[in-house]
Amino acid sequence: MAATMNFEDVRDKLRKWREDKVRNSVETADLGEYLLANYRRKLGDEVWPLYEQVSIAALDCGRLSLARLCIHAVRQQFPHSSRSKRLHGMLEEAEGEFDKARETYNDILKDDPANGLVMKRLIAIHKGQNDIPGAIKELNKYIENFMSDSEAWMELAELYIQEQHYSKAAFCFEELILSNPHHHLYHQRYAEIMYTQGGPENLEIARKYFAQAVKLNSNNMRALYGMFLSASHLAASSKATIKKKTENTKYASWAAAQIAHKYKQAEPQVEVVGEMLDKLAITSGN
Amino acid sequence: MPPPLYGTFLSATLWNSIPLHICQAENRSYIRLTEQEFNRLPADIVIECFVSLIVTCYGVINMAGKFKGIRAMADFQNKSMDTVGNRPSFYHFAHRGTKLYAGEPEEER
Amino acid sequence: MAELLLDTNIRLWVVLPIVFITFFVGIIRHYVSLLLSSQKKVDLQKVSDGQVLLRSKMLRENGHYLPKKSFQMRKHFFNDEDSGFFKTQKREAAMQNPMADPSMLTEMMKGNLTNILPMIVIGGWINWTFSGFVITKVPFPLTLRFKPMLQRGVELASLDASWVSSASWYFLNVFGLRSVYSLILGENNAADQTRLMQQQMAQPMAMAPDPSKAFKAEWEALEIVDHKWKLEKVEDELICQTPYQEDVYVKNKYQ
Repeated sequence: MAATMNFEDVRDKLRKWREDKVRNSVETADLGEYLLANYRRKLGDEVWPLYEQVSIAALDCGRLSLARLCIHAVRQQFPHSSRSKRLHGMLEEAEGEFDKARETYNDILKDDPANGLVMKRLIAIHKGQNDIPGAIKELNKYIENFMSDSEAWMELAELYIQEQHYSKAAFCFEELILSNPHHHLYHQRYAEIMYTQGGPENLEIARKYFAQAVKLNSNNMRALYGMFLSASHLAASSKATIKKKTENTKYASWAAAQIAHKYKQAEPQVEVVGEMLDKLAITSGN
Repeated sequence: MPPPLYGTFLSATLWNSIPLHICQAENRSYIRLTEQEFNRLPADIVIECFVSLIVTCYGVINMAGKFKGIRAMADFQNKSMDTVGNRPSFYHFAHRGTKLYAGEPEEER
Repeated sequence: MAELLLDTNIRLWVVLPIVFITFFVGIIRHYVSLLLSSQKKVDLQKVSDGQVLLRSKMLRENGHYLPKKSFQMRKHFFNDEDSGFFKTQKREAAMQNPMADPSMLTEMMKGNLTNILPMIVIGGWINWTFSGFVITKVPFPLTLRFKPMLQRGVELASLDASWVSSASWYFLNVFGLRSVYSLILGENNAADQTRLMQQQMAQPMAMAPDPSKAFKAEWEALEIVDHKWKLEKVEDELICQTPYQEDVYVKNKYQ
């Protein structure tokens, strides 16, 4: 596949993936290997970030020999850089030698105590050893120092979700919403956590945040479904007042109409959406 | 769609500025030729300037069409949680992808 | 208004050489500063403080997107009288005396060496070499107060202040070539002296602002924020909106 594309296309594709932080490791490793083998000189200075990208992708795929090649090249060029030492640490992690990796990272931290990326790798070692509670503890300590790190908050949220501590995961997502209030995915994810927690107040909050996600991005199907489900759940609940019932029925039917319209736009032949939505609407009270 | 009258208004006053400039330049050269002292522009040109300014403002305000909303995070519309939720600093390699996509078996080091 | 006719040789041998000299000195200064620059040691405490202030600012600005309880929880964490972050964390005032701190001293010296010294030396040399005549006329009228500054070496009482000598042309170039530098060397280049001068004027003593003052200011700012949930009526707003939003402007980064 790589041989049929020309140099500029491949390079631009990889550049885009690097900027957007897409985790597309198999293709990245293939295309990157092709570029590095055949067009090293043409790449110029861009070859170093590309080496980093390809080595991480290769580690992700399990292609350790390719990773070793790339990391060795980087270390030869930049022997004292903390970035290349970190790559070496990642290689040791992938080989399963977690203690060696920990030593490497602690060495880097001795010289540069504020290196956030290396601290994150130490947390990733816990994840690699399947020690989620340990990872959570370390990550909390990290966040005490780096309170505005969105990536860390998102990681903490995912770890809490894995451990089923949903209220704490919701707290983390609130931080993400604070950092970026116009991002529809954060609202949608937060609403999903609220919906998972259940209970009438949480469902109300979930419905509101699903609505906000739809407002920010009208193409967000998940948020539309979420709004429909939470509204119909609230409407069907036995403890709901008449006013709330009518409100929620209105919202649910609006969401259903939107979903049907979107499906019609995409696939004019689909007739079963209406049936599916009826089945989804929970009719028994809780 | 704002009434076409506003457009006519606006273009009329904007075009009017050209003869206004010519008037003013001619006035100055006349003053210079007759060697009078130049203190200020004659009153009628000043009034005409102000009037055309006000009419231009009025026309522009009414001509401004319906603004399109600018989405603050428009480039996120097409991204999925897979990309946005990617946390590259926290990658770990103890997942089945390393076994599935390794390709040829690695020789012993 | 005096209309002077200048020798065309002035244009060829004075104006253009000064431009070239200024330009190339700037480029050389940029590369020299790159060579001399040392890695700045980052202090964990400082980074952490910066991030705390950033988080508090985010809370103030975007807090109405959160449910009331969450907002109150965070406000309590920061601002509570007994246990709030801004109240309990004490930072000693960072009085960075340049004489006492050796690394600051070397930094200052290096900065001076690469920026101020060449400017003074070159300015003086140009003034000495190209003295005694006016170079050019600035297109806007200047008052008489500028005469001794801009017409150094030419002591004519009746000469219009718009006629300037070589030193002022040099300074004009220093400021004017900034945009050329940013075009050639990219943003944030060391050849940009005006930014350095602004920095020096703004922070005469220590570089880092006093953390405890910043905490106090942030405490006050957060104290006065009142939470008004923006999502109170979001569903109704959503339903009343145009359901099928097509006329939205989207800027495509890759186009």
